[in-house]
Amino acid sequence: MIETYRKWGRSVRLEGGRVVWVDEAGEAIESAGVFRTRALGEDSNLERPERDAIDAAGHEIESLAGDGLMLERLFVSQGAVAHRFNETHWSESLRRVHLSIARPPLRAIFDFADFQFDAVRRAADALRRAGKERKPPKRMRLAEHIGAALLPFLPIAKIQSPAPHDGKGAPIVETLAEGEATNWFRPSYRVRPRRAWFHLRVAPFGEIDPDLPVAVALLAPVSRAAIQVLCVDGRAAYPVSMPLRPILAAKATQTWYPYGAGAFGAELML
Amino acid sequence: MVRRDELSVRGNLVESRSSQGQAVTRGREIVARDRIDDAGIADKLRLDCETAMERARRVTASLTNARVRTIVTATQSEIESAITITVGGVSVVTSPDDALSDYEMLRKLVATPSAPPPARPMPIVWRNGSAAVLLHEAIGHAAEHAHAPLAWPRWLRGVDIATGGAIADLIAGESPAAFRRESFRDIPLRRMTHVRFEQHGAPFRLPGERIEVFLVSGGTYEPLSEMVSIDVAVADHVDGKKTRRVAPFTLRASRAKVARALAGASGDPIRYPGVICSREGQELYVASHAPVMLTTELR
Repeated sequence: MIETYRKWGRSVRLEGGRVVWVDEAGEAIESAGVFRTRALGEDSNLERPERDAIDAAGHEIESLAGDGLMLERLFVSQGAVAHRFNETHWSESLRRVHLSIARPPLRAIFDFADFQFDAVRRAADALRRAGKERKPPKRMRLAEHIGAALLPFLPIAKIQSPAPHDGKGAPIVETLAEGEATNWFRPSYRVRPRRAWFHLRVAPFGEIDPDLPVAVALLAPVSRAAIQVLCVDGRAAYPVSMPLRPILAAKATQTWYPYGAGAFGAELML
Repeated sequence: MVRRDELSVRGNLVESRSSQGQAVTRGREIVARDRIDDAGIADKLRLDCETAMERARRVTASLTNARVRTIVTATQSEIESAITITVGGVSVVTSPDDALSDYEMLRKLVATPSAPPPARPMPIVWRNGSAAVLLHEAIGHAAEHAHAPLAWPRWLRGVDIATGGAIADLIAGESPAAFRRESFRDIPLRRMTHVRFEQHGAPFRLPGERIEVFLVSGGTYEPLSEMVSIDVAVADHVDGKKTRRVAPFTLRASRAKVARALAGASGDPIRYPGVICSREGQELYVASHAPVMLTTELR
């Protein structure tokens, strides 16, 4: 069987102090176990993305740094994408933000799919007054963006949220995310699609104690084994490194984050 | 830029990618698209790329027991061919000229470890040019980040040579001269092209008990803490006349500690087969040479 996927994209991004406009189209064909891609060099009828929104987002983030903090990395993008898999067509608009704010040797990292930066504001304030690393509290909360990053790794009940199309144009249905994923994830036409759970949402359970210390930022990418986070406990702020513990309570939020094939915010207590 | 990227596993093609595009810079703005406006330039780059890929295919056709990824990139300034050969989970990165000899070296080096990783720090002899990776991280990336130079041994020289010949003295903290990018979509960054370390009159005395490193699988430089991390893939524990292959392990030390640990070197620079350098999500091949070097305990 021959599978043909085509993608057209127009985007604008801020990166390293530059504004980069990208206009491209590509094709991926999978046949007899061989995955082939090529640039199409075609014009698309996608709208040219607006630069104003990424400039505004960039200025807002830059305003959060300073006063002892360094904006180490800033990547803000906005674009429009059209897809075709065999005879199925669909399109979408995307926003992505990746940034790191540092107070050496600490680095807080964030990934967003919209230009809302309340979590950065809160973490920047904590980072300015962060002290030395401490032992992790006996129990603590994780802010929703940290829970979203962790979700793919956690052995708790998760639900795949519905959406119209996966990387092969098939509908994504709501189901418990366990066992082998049923849909295909294709982050780029140049990447061979793989099975993945989409738009993960934690199945809520237990009650989160709002008075516990809370982790407000990741200080390193998550892994199956451990997390490094910036913890706020009253007026104190400090880095914590800890192995992943059992989750004692969980609550889903409405914000979608670009981790894996997507994850909704998850406030966790561990 | 025109690029071909092919992956073969045990002699069978499993992935093939071709891309092309141009980036036009105007002040702070870069306009990138997957089409090259000048048809003459586009035709030439496609021909250059296909010719180089065909040569790489001929060279690697016999490597039927390996995973082979070949990337050829043709730009107006150069044609670069990088071949990554993986056997038993261990890789080398090489060129069409050196692919067959590097494959044979890799086959001989890949052996089941007979000993655990070293339980305590001990002196390390960096063979096979592998010190180039340690110094690429501790000196090269520090220079890219404009970190203050350290007091390296007087016998050590280290430069980065850009395509076109511009030389940066890495020991003095000079940033690489070249702006490089992985694809037409990426922003150009000051990046290393060809790092070359030399020794002039260095001492060199082999300790009786030591680790001898032959291949590394990765390295990082953390710019905020100035910590260097090296993932050692193939190494031996040598104790007198007894030699045992040890399991892979990771070394971590500050670059200041690396500078203090450099205890000696011997001979001319040796080509190290294998540096794909990743920074800001852009992976670039960096040619690397270093003599056999000796460090005291690093962990």
